[in-house]
Amino acid sequence: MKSARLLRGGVIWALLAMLLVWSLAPVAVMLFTSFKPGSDIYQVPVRLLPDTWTLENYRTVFTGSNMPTALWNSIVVGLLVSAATLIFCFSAGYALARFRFRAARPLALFILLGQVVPLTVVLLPLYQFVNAMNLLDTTIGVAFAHLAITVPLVTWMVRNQVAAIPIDLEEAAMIDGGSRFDAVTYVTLPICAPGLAAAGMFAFLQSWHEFLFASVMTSSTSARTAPVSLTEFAGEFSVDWGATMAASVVLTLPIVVLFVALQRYFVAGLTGGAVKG
Amino acid sequence: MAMKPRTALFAGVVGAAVIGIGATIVVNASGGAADDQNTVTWWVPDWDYQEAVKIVETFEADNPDIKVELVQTTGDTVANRTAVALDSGNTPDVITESIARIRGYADKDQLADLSTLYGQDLPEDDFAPGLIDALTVDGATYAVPYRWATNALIYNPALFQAAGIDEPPATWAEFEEDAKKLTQGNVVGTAWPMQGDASDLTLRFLDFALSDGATIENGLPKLTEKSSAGAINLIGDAINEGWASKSSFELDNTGIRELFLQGRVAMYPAGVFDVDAALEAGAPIATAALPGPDGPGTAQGVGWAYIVPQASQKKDAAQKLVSFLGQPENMAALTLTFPARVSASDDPKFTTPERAAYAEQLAEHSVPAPNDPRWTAVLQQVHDEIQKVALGDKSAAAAATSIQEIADKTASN
Amino acid sequence: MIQTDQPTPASAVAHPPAPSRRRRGGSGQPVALILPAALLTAVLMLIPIVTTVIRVITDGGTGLQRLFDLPNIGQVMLNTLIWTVGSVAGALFIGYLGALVLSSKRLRLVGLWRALVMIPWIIPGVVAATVWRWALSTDYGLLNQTLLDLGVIGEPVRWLSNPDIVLISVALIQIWVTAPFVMLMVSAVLSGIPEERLEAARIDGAGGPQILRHIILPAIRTTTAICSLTLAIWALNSFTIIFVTTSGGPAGSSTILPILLYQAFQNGDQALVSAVAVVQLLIGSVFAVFFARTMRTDIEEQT
Repeated sequence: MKSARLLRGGVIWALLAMLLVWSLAPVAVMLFTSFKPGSDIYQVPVRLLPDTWTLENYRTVFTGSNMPTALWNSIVVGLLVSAATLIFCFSAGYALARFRFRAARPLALFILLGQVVPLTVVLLPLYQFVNAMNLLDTTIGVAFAHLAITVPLVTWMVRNQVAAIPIDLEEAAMIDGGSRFDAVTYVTLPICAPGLAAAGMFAFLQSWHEFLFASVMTSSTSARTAPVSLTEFAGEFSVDWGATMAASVVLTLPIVVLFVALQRYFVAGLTGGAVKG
Repeated sequence: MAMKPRTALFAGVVGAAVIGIGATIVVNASGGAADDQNTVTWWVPDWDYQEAVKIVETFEADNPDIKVELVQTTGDTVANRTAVALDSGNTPDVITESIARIRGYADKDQLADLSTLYGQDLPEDDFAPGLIDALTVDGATYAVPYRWATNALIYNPALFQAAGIDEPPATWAEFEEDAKKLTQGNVVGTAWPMQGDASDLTLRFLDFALSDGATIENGLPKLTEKSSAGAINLIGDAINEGWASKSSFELDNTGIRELFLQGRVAMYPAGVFDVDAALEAGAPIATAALPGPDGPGTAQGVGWAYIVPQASQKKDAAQKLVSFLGQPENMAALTLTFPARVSASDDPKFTTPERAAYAEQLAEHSVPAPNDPRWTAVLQQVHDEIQKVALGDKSAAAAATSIQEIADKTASN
Repeated sequence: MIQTDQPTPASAVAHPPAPSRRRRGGSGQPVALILPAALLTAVLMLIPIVTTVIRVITDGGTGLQRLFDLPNIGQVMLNTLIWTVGSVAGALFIGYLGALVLSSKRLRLVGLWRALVMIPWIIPGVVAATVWRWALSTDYGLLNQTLLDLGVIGEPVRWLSNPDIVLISVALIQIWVTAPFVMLMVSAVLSGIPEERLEAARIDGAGGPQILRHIILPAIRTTTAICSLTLAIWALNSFTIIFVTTSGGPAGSSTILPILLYQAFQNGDQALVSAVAVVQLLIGSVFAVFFARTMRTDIEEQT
């Protein structure tokens, strides 16, 4: 009995080890390549670890490129996107979850359909729209374009979270004499908070990753986001792999930290009411 | 209805956010209207940026009433952004674009006619042969080219010596024979860029085909099955038979250069930048004209040019800038390969010994690359046919027939 | 997060406590709340969709005709199918396995492990694709080098350039990127299964497989559906991974619809872009309808 349990424990740890190798091996390649000098990168036979360690690539990224500005832009765009997404999607998601009206189903389906549209199709109309608002080459313009990606799914996530909250709770607050808004701020929002944090982070993530819109909507370094800036290390004729990898590490790190900090909410919130026990 | 404190706070925060975003949009939307009528916007690729800043300073000193705003593009984004900007009608005033894409824009009436710029300051006959014709549709010339280059053969003399070969190959037969001799151990004779942009591979294919009877008419290739089969043999069969690297499928231009620098690829057709890279890395290198069926082969000229969008509001100022950029000294300064004007080629940076083969290739054995968008549209199909041969799924002759069909269909569309 | 007795809009309206809401919620209110998001979606999505469909119709079907005349269209459709099914199945498998492992009571530091295995999902797509291309390269690839050193293979495997395995390789990358999402979703459900139920089952003498079959699998059924559909839609619209690693090659053996669309986009061939987009939209709508169905059954089951 005891040995069986030990064995089972061993199997679990072995599976975990395999899972970690599978998940992290490419990340390790990225990390270690970022510390290699140019001569080591194309070395044959290939080795994971650098022969000589260097911070040169990071120096290139931080002092010899537009990456710092681009990172800042990415943060600004990401925050704008998550804030706007939450405002739009909480109101829509709440209405979809709590009210029954004739347009609800078509509207929900319609918002969902937004998930399915290939982004290249949206590109030109969106560009014209952003241009019409005179927002080309601004962080706000990029953020606006990113809403196209985040709004559909997040509306859905929020809707499910709200639907999972017993309406009795809200009604109790309303019977006590509060308005519907009071019920929302005192009851619904606090319960939804983890889920909203997850949704907000989801929006941030999507915006942080997005390349196509950002590359077309921005022309100067003043609004260029980090993934677009990453392409600057690939010159007309050559690619600076070391700097690309270093920039990738820099691009990945903040989001990993954010995730670790928020992951408790994330696990609970992402699935929300869509999941039943 | 009385609000509880937290509700008020919440409403306040949301309200402030909405007003904030709204206000920024309004400010932006109205602020843009006061755009300065004398400011010309020029989209310049990042590799030209530093020189461009200097040239613009001189230009602004000469033309105090015009200001130039430089906006950097990158190699990966310039095509998408230019296409979207031209389609939407919101354009900069001058764009540095690849010559291969210009005809496509011109066909959609998106570019201003720059014919009037040519003349005393910008004599047409000072440009590389055929170049201006390639940019002219129905009598209107839509661009001023400034950079022009072809591929030539670059090889590793040390590996050649080790294999007992004295001279670079001058004919296709020698190319094949030498490549087979050079292929041993870690080294392969040559490699072809089969990953990434389809045009990298088709450019090499067409170079060989043009050397053996194919021609380019009005920006569209006229192929023959014989020339295609010969070209595919050198590329596709070479890989299948192993005297070109099997890893070609994973290599783009940069990847091949890296292998060359490490002495793992003995020779390959490449642009002049690869020469500079090898010299800088201290790798053994020499250059020669591209081999042809029996003597020097033909190479396609490719390059970059300045265009002025039809939608630009400041065409006069933009044309002044383009005309200025077209002067030989400015052209020489902004060129990493070769200048489009013959009179700009005297600059010492174009006359190094390794560049001699390129200069000769350009002057005597080159034609402008096809730039008809109908050809661009089928590049992927041609590319895939060549790859099938390289994979051993198809014979060179069968692929040549397929490519002929593709090309004929393209021409009849 | 898990309630067994969640009222839903439908049930709440049908049963008594509802009037309080009816009294307060005027008929204009829900529409006003949804309006911003719906307008945004309309501007961002509806207009492009309508424009695209109109373009395909007005050009008399020549775009569609050209699309289906392409010599490799059959292969592209087949690739798209294999890629979608393969990457969804793989991500579900690894995701489930990971979630089960991470839910084990025998593990310590679960938070840390979970954060680590999430990295593939939160890493930017371009970066992930670039790193994989690097790791799978024939000339410099660390995977080949490792396998050679271990003596598993005799010569480098051309992961990204052998037409027989390239689709598997790129699907593996997609699995690597998306499996954590499944892990996350399934973890949440597993953590919601009441401990008493598992205990009760064990006392009744149920072994691991039985618990898996009778308790865990039914609990994650809906989540499985949601995950599969989300993954399928992602795979169907996914472009970065294949574009960066193989550009759809060799000889089109890893070309899927979005790659075709992008190639047409690069050529400025709007008619073909619209045609591919419409086909993608059609397939996507089928998924979306399934998605909506699943969500609805899910909601109805909860009442």
